[in-house]
Amino acid sequence: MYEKFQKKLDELFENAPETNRARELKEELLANLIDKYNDLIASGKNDEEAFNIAVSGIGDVDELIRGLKEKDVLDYAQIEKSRKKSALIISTSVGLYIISVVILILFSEVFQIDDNISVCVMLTIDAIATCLIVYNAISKPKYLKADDTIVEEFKEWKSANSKDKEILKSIKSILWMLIVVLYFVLSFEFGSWAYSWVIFIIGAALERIITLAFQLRK
Amino acid sequence: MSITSDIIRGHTETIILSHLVEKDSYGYEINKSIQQKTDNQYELKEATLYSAFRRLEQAGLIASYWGNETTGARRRYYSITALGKAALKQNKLDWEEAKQLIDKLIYGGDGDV
Repeated sequence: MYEKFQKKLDELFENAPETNRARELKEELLANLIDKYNDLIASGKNDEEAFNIAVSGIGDVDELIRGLKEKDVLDYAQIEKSRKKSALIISTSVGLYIISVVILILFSEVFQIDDNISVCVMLTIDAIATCLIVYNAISKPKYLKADDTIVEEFKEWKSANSKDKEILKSIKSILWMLIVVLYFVLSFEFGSWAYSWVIFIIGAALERIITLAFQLRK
Repeated sequence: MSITSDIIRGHTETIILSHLVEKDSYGYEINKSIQQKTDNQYELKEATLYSAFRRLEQAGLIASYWGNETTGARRRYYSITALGKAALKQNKLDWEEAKQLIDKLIYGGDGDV
C-alpha cells in the first residue's frame, strides 16, 4: 500500500519542481495518507475504498505546487546581522594594525624600551589582528542551497569559489605576517640589515607559487 | 454546506493555530480532530491544510520538525511559536468582532433572531 500511495503522489506532483521541499512535502503527505488509510481500514472499509477515500481527500494540489515554485524568502535580518559582525571584526583588525605601529613608536622613542621588546609587542598585536581577519573569512556563512534547481547549484558553486578565494586571501596574509616577523627577527638577531630584505622578494615568489597551486587544484 | 465550507476555509489558519496551542501535532491528527469536533460534518482537504502550514511557517507563526518514526514515512510535526500565539489571540478578537457585525447586518439589529 505504501508504494501505491507513493506512486499516486508522484503522479499528482508530476508538475512540481524537483526540490528538497517537494520531496519533504510528499513524504509528509505520504505519512498522513497512510495514517488515514489505516484508520479507514480499522473502521471496516476494504482496501480499495480506503485508498480511494484517502486519495480523494487530498484535494486540489495546484496551490501546493504553486507554493513549491515560489522563490524562497531570504532571511534578510540574518544577512544584515552577519554583515555587521564582519564589518566590526575587519575594522577592529585594521585599527589594531595602526595601533601596533603607534605602540612601536611610543615604546622605542618615548619610553626608550628595548627595540626587541617593542617590536615583539607590535608583532603580537599584528598577529591578533591577522587572526581576527582569518577568523572572519572562515566563519562567514556560506551560501546554503535552498533548492536543488540549477540556479541554486550555480549559486553554491559560485559561493564555493569565493570561499576558495577567502582561504587564499587568509593564507597570503598569514604568509606576509610571517615574512615580516622573520625579517625583524633575523635582522635584529644577526644584524643582517644589509641583505635581509631579500626575504620580501622570496615572499613575493612564494605568494605566486601558492596562487598557482590553488589554480592548478581546480 | 458549501457556504459553511467557504467560511470555515477562510479560518483554516486560526483553526490550526488553536489546535497547536494545546499540543504539537501533525497534519492527519489535526484533520482528524477537526472531523471529530464537527461530528464528521467538516474535513479539510490535505491540499488546503498543507498550504496553510506553509503560509504559517513562512510567517513564523509555527515551526516544524520531523518525528522519529522508524517504519514507513516520517511525520512532520508542527508547534506554535510565541508569534503564533499572539496571532491566534488577535484572530479570535477579529472573529468576535466580525460575528457581531454580521449578526447586526443580516438580522437588522432588531434582535429578532
